[in-house]
Amino acid sequence: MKLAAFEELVLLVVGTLGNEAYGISIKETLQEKLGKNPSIGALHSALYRLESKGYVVSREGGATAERGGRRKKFYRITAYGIRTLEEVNEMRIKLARKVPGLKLGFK
Amino acid sequence: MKDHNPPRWPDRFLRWFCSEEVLETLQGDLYELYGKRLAKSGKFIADLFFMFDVISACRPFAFSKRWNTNSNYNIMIGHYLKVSARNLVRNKIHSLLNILGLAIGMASCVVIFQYVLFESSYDSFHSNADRIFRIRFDYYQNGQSEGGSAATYSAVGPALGQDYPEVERFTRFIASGYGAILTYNNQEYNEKRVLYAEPSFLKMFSFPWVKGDIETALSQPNTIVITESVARRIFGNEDPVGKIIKVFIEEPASMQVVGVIKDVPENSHVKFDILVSYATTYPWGWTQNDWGNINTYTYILLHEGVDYHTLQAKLPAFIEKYEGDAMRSTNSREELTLQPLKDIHLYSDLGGELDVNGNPVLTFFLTIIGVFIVLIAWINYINISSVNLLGRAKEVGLRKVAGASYGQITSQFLFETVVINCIAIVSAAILIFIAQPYLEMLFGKSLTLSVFNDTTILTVIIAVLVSGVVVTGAYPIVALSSFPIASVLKGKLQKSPTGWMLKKSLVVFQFTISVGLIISTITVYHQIKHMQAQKLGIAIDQMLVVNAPQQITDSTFRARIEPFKNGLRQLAQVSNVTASTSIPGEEIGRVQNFRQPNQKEEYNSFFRMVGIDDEFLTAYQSSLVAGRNFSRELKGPSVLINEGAVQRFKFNSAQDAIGQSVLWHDRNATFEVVGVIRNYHQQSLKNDFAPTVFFYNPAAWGYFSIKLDNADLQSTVREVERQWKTLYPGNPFTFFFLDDFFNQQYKEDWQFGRMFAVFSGIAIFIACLGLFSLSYFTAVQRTKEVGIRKVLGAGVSSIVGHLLRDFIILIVLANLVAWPPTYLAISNWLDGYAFHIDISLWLFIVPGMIVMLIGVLTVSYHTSRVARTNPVNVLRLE
Repeated sequence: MKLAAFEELVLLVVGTLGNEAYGISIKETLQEKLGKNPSIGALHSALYRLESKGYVVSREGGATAERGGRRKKFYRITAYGIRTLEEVNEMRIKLARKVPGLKLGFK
Repeated sequence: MKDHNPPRWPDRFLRWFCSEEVLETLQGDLYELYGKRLAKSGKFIADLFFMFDVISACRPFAFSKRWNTNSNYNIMIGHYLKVSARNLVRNKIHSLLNILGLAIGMASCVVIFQYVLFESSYDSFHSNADRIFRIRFDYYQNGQSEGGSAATYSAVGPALGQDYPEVERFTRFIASGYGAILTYNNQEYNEKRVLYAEPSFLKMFSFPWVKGDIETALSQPNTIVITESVARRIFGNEDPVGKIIKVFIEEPASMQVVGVIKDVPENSHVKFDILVSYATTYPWGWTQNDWGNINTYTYILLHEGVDYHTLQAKLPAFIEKYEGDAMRSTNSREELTLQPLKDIHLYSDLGGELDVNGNPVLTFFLTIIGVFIVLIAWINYINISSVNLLGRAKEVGLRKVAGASYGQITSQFLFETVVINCIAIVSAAILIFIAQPYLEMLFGKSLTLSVFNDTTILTVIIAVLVSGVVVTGAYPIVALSSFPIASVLKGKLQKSPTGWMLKKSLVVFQFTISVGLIISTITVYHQIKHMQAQKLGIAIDQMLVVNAPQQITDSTFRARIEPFKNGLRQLAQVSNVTASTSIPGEEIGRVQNFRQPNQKEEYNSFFRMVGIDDEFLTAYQSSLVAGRNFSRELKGPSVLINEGAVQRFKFNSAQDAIGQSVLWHDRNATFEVVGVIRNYHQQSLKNDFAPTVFFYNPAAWGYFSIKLDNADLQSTVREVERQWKTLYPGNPFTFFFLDDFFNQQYKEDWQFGRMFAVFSGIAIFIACLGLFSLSYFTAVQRTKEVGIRKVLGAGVSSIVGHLLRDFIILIVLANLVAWPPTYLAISNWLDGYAFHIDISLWLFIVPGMIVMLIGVLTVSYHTSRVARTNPVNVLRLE
């Protein structure tokens, strides 16, 4: 399995956020768009794994006072990450077509 | 500026476990989140979530590098396992002996603790066990103790309950001396253990209730509660509750079963099959509020938080209030003592105890032996591993050169210790499992606490294992820390003098214990043999005893005694028949006050009372010191007394006592002393001769003692039974042989001796295993020395002698060390016997010789092998 379910969601969110993807913003997006409320630990753990698998890259950002002088770590999805998302989706749709009575399409 | 003060502890924790690179961003995110939550929901919520978040971040990705285990280390564990396996295999025999010694030591230790724990677990299953106390009763006559009793007056319980608010509840019961015969559907059942108990019995003690109404049970006369197994025996699958059953205890009655209780566990000092309601005894007149008979077992439950010592302090005033005048008029003194329920089994040994009491001396010694045995096993391990270490010095040196740290080498040796200890404990568990049936024989009871179902035992096993690893693992680690690598690798380290001192003192210690145990074992056996070999003063062999009929349904039963005795006398195999209220081998229960008639009341003393017929003396081959036997012709109130009684009555001599009168205080009746019986042992030699008064009672009701000639016992018993059935129909015929019955009293002593023998045997065996291995290693180390000696002309025998000398010195030393403490211990033990052996020197010499012989045999196997080696083979390489 290339991507765990939660990792896939995080990867998607990183992709949507563009240049503004860091811990808190990812967490908030997950909460608003998907109704998930992961703990910071779980989120960082997933990001760490995504980075080590090469689906995202990170850069250090500026420190702010509200962060107690700590720098942010911004994540960006890589081309490999996007390809992996495509593969996963394709595979899922292929399989889903074989389920009788399952209607695919957007509502 | 916002308040950026998240709780400090979680923050610090985060910094502690987190790696630097993760910390920066993670902490930043957490702070930011904290700020947002603080603004939205307040400090408490923010703090709380901060804490959860920190805990949720406690994942492998965040861990600091310093938590990463060196994977090399894990690989080394496999390596260590391989090395320990090779080491075990290299010295197959010695590894086997080492593990065997450890396993046997651990197994004995665990078994002993199992027994000791069982003995101390008595009565602790009652939920209020800590607050329940038994009333002990002590009686002093003319300042002299007449012994303590487990039972007391029946009035004590209610009076205590009334006078002292600390007492939450009291309960009383009386033990029926006879069993009960229950008749249901024309089937007779004989149940031995019967108690007359108050309803509060069921509430004070926590015997599990099975059926019936516990609230009302036992409140009405002629109601009974039975145990499950009795219920099953009598009623099968029927519901016993509410059934009416014919019960015969002292007289026949119809009783209703009102409840069923679980069988009494083995570790309860109160054991019973049937509880009859206490109210059943009211018509007898002396069971409700009586200050005369000492026969009521009384237990009180104190309120929570009451210190029983404070109540104890009030008891002298209590007894003064109720018994003061009576005590003064008879010059006696009475004492009540509170006995904690859980102490009764081990620490109480009174008259009229309900169960065979535990032996605190035995459990104490056993505990010590258990500890010693496991110590001996550990010492073996230490000794052998220390010798081994010398052989492995090169391995250690090479490891150090290759870069192994001190920690790695110690962990390697510790690992080996753990492996060996684990193998040993598994073998120990198997040993215990195999030995379980024999252990029941050894301990004389089935321990309901089994190794496999009790957590305390499991804790003991784990404690033995862990302390074993610590103790046996400590030596190599200490020794290793002072290992000079350079000299090891140059091959200079041959032996360390300090190590030898340690080894020698440990061997001395092992054999000190062995010698002490052998001396004690021989003493115990010697004492028991001594007691059994003593002339009792009466003949108890070939004596068939038949219990007198219990169902006295009409007055003619007594009249049938004479025909019964006469019938038996006709039999060729029977030489004598006598009836008595008591037989040798049991405590004479009846104790009464007597004095000389011309003396004042304060001269009253307690005497045992036995009723015998005129053939008792002949049948038991007991002899008279003075006077004559009872006679059927010479009527008149007369008694026989024994020599002990002559002294207590303060007659000048046996001759002098003849013709004198004695007064039975309670009946105010005078009797003439017609004869003095030579003292004989009524009970085991643990007890002294009790002053006894014998009454003439041709219809004595208790036992028929039938002296048999050498004959076919079976057919004789059948014939006696046939005659019994015709004269006493409906009465169960129960009989036993008196010598068996008498020797029952030594059962406990034999058991004591047996346990001692078994465990000291094990201790010596393990010590010898160690000596065997140790002598092997030392002999191997001295092969070069032996070679040189032989080249210089020494003979085999002189070399063997030379090598043996060291060990002999150690064993002699062990003997000298062992003797003084052992002497103290055994003389202390022997003091508990009224008739005991003298401690003689050979009691010490013989065990010393035995240990010496075993030791020399063990050592000489290797020594002689080394002495016979060809010196060329060992010296060629030099």
